[in-house]
Amino acid sequence: MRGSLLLLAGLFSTLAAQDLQFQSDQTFQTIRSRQAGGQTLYELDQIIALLDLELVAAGSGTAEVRGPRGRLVLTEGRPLLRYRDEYILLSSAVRKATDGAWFVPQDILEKGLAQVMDRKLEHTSQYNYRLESLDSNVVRVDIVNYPDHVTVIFSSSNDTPFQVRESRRYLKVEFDGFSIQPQITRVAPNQELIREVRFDSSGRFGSFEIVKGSEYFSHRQYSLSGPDRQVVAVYGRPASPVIASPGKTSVETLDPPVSNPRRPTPPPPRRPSRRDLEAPEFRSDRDSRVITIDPGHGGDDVGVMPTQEVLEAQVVWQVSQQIQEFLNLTLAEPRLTRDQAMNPSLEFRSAQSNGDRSKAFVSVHLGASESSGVRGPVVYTHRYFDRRDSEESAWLDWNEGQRDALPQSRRLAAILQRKLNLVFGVGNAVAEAPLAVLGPIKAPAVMIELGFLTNSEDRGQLQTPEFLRQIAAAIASGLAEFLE
Amino acid sequence: MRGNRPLIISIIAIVLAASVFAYVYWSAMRNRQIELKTAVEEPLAVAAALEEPEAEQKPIELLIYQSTPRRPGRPFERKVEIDLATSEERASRARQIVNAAIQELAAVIPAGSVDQVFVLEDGTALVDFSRTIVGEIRGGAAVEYAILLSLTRSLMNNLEEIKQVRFLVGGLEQPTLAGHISLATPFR
Repeated sequence: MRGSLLLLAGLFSTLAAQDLQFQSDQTFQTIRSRQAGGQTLYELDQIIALLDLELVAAGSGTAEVRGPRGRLVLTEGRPLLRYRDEYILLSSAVRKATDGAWFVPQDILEKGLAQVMDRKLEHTSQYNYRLESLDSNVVRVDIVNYPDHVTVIFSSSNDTPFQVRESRRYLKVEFDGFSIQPQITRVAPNQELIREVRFDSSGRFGSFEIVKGSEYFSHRQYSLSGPDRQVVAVYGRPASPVIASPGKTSVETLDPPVSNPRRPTPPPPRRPSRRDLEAPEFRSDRDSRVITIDPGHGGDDVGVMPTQEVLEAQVVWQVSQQIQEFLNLTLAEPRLTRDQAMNPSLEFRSAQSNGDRSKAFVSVHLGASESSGVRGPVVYTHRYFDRRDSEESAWLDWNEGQRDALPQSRRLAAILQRKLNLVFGVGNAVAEAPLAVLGPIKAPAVMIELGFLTNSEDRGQLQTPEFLRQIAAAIASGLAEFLE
Repeated sequence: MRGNRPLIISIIAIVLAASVFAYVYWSAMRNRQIELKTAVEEPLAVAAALEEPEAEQKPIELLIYQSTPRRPGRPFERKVEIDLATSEERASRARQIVNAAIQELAAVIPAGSVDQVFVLEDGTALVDFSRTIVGEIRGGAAVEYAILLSLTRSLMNNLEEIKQVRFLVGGLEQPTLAGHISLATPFR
């Protein structure tokens, strides 16, 4: 008897198991699951009401979900949402009932609706969600003008992930996890480098836009005194001097000395503040000797890991340090994109190279293959799928950086491949692929996979300090030959 | 007979309870069925731009890329001819091609890695990788590139309407598949 009751209870709970449960403060609300053609769907009207969003018909078979952070467009019969310029693909199609009600799959909550609402939607278990107010993040924005660059300093009240993306017209600065409350300083930036810094309230948390001036060339990002103070430094074109405000006398500029009679006499230099002293020293492209070495992966991302003894992130860190040591013996100024424990984003690594106006960029990795016979080093250059991308994406400009430098990148790759082949005793050829870290870099740039950890011979050699030193020496001498 | 009485009562009770439940379940499920405006197509919808397949069905030719000892980093193209069991069904062809290519790449990417495939009218195929499975790819740039190239070329080789392939992860646009190859622009 007890068994049959348990069976009965189990079957009933199965029936309701796919209902969605939302917890908000102390209240619980349920959205019933519905069935159509073997798909489990949920009525959009009920979800919209619960999340304080708005559903608006936008033509035959199309509707818009509007929220405080933007809008989503959905089309009947398609597993597809349109959000800004992006596509969002759902697990199954959005459907419309005969009475005109819209029905949607469960994953629209996290993939779509969470993007346009101003509350936090936490997925606690398979069919359970928690709704919470977004904590606010007060972000103060200070602008400091230098003779040759401008720094925009973002001081946030919460330690939150920070990202800079570059488009044709502006740099987009995004903080994750908290709704931004902006406080922008009234200091006007040097208009030739930055036209304005403004806040864009659309998007999930809001974001800042640093609108580029006519002389904008590149930017660099770094932290000041911990992660709560992030800086975006904007630099002008190497060939065109950008002098708008007086500043540090120690900074090299491309302008002639003050002897020009038409030029107003500059006021005496002000006393440098602590912030000035923390800012990076500017170097023009002409005198830059910076070579950026990018040890791949890092932090929690160990990269290729066929055994616990050999981790890609550790091996490439050792090799990169040794390349730095070798290059320090030359006139070059090697800079690493990360320290041992960090895993900066690919955008950060590329921006660092552009901001430093590097003469060359080398990203160091290890390879792996489905075939254990594949071995030896492979040097990659960037690959574009067509001649020049159209206007279809707002972010293409960022990925177009490498296009003009490709001939030089190929020359660098050929030199490095030849030198590394000698160390490994193989005859591998240079390869090309659309590599995310190389696309934005304006200098000659390559990525090297220093052998394959899936090959026993390579794996054994890559655990030998002497062999790693030979690899580093080959790369350093290849870079020196390239820069001659 | 008397000794079996409790057993008979239990059986009758179970049968009655099961009947009641079956009725309640059936009526509840009926209540939950949505009457759709248009009939449900195949679970994987492909836009109407795809033409009807030819009456005489051709085998599918997958183009699978992989590194070889002679050409590391330069993926070698391997042609694999297969017959798809339901290839006459227009709407499932794109996904079947993707799944078949993933099977051929089983050494580097697990089955079930692709959650969804959709084809837009402009000839862009959207291929959505499962976020959790993508995290398990530990193959470096060569493997990552070979996976993306195999899916792109296999789709374009078999469905004329597909002009380019855009890859998503977890339903959304992402910078890379597993840390190396850029997904910022569509593959052609």
